[in-house]
Amino acid sequence: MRFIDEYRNPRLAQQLVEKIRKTAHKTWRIMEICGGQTHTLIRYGIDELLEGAVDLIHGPGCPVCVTPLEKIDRALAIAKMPGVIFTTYGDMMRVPGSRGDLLQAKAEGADVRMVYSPMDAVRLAEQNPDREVVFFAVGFETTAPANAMAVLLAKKKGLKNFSILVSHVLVPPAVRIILDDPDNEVEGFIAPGHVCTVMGYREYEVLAEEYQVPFVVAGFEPLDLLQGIDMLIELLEQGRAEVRNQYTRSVRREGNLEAQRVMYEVFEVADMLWRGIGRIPMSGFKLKQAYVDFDAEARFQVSTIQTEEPAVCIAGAVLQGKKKPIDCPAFGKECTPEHPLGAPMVSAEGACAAYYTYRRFQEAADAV
Amino acid sequence: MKSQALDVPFEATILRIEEGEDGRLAWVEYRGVRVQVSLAFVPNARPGDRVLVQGRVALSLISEESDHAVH
Amino acid sequence: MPFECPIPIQDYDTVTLAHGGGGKLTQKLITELFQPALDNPYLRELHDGAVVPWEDGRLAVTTDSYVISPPFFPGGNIGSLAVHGTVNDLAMCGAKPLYLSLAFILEEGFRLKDLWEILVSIREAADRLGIHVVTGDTKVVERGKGDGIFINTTGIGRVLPGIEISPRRIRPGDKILLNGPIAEHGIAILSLREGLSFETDLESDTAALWPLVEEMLKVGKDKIHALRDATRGGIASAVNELAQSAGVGMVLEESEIPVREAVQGACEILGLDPLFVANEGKFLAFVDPEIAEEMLRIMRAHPLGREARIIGEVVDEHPGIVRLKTWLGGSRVVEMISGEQLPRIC
Repeated sequence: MRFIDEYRNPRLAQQLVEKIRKTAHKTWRIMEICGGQTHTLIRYGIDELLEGAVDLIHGPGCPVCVTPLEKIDRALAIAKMPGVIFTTYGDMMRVPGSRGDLLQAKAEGADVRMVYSPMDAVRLAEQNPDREVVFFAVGFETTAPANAMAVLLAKKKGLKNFSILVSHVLVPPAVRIILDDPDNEVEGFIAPGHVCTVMGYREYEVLAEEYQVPFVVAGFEPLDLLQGIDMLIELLEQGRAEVRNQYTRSVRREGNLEAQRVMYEVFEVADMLWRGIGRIPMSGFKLKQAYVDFDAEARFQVSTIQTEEPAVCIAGAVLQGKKKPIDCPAFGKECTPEHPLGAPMVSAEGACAAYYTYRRFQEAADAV
Repeated sequence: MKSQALDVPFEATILRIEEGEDGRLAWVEYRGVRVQVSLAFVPNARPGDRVLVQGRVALSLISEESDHAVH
Repeated sequence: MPFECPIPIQDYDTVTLAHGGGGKLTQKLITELFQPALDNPYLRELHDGAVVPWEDGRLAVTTDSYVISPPFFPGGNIGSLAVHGTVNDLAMCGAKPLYLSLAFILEEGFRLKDLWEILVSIREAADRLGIHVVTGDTKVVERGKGDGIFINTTGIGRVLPGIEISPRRIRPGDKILLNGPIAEHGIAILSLREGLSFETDLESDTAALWPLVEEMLKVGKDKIHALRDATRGGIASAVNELAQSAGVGMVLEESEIPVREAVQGACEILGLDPLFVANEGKFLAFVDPEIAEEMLRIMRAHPLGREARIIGEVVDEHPGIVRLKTWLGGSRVVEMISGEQLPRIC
């Protein structure tokens, strides 16, 4: 309690807000890459406190937002197969596929279960030898080591009824896509503290050098983020394209080598589809040949399911910070939080959902 | 529900460590809540240490002295 | 490929657990199925109980079903919950509870010893309120067709004279009072769920609120404009529903909303927002600002309101929308939940 509350001290927060406002001589456009950080910024109203000094662009770091429609459709197909127990993190239950979501599949009789860890799924496989247990392995570099460990554990236990549906994405290739875009307006990045806890931040040093943009690795408590933004604004004001680490209590430059070892034992880097963005070369993980027995897509033969994203949805451009949600013709019309076309409208932290809420408020306020 | 189960890391204190057949597990406490997590990626962790947890797996040992958010 | 949109959440053609979550989907069920089918002025109030005219006064009638899993939990069981929940719906109409009906749906194989324990809790809860269970019913279903025990209770109460509790009476300037720390029931139940595997020392806050509400009504009378217990969907759903039906805006102060340490911790670990988590002994009172401090004193003097706070106020601006000022000084909109809460918490 002592520790966490230190990172939520309103007085220190206020001081940092003032400092950032004083330091910034213009409105800097910065992107927080990670969805967890977006959540903190919105949850505590930090975006509003910094208005004018910092224009925060919510990045593509929300696994719910970037898991491609195709994977959701495959997940739905597997979940509906007889004998399958489909396990997933709670967030994925409501993400719409082409037809319905996992919650609906559950209502129609599929055995879909929410778990908090892939180890829970391994345990379920052990307890239910006559059922096929599938885990929906989504997320960034943070969840990959645990998912790899689950595969190793299942192998060690000789479980033949456990497999994972892999939809793992990597942060640096997505940042590269954003920076490669000629219309890119992002001037600096808050790098994801928990991804860097696993991976370290050498990859970001390469990006900073190559693209001449600064990065600050930050944690996800309010003070972590405020301090990270402060450090980033200082780098921007000084014109320095460097990487700084705010989250030193957890992040080492080389990352967690043991976690990386396990991760690379099971996974290898591969091309990956991102929802709304499309295929990004070498931007995700697939199972290595030695572990291909645990690949749910092969086991249940769902690779033939291929899905195009809705044409009207501009999720990709929004996730890259190129367009604002209000630029989308479907925004607030065909596409609402109750009826999402694209993933950024699904998750509460998604850029479109956040905008929707904000706009609803503005309109109500203006109506008076 | 606004559940971000996937993306909710937290920093917790290790209460006790158990060597199970599934590896090294620990009960950790965060704000009066106790959960069991895997210590597979923090082999040097000891009771009393703080760890960053995500998806019920400890991802790093938290070191207070190197921290500058509050100092 | 032709443009094909995913099935909109409101167009589910079967019932999903989210329809029972107390959020937007529950509202849809009510406004798109129940209301059109059964429409009348009493239902149109969209309150948890109905106030109907009677010779010599007004009666309040309410009914509620309890499907909580597991039926025994820290702080109570399905029996005490079934009395408290229904009595609370009456109290939120400003009605003194008088009579209760009690209907069981039991699954073949349910232990009689457990049933007895539940009945004892029901009796004790009713005795504390001085009310009687006056009628009942029992049905048994085959093994596998129920989950141990479901209970339905209907309550009848008498609305105190001079009391006019209705969302329509909420007006800008009203203070919003809350009787204590939130989200304890939901978290206590979740801690028992298989698969979530976390431990706390938390107990459900299940309680009959009438004794406190009665004290408040005696003094506050018609200056108490509306009452709402914050059950499924938490206080976020309660304030949103009322802001919408009263056509007013509301502003809450995050730093004034009491949340116990372990509740906060569990919510963060599970990725939940305590504002959306269920309570079974917490309510909001919307009162004329003139009497707000006095009401607060009365609440704090009562065991059910020791940690009561004024958590916000009703405003002219942004009608239908609730804004929360964070302790950091920022603000955000408090949305109504649209997806699933974890099921069967009450």
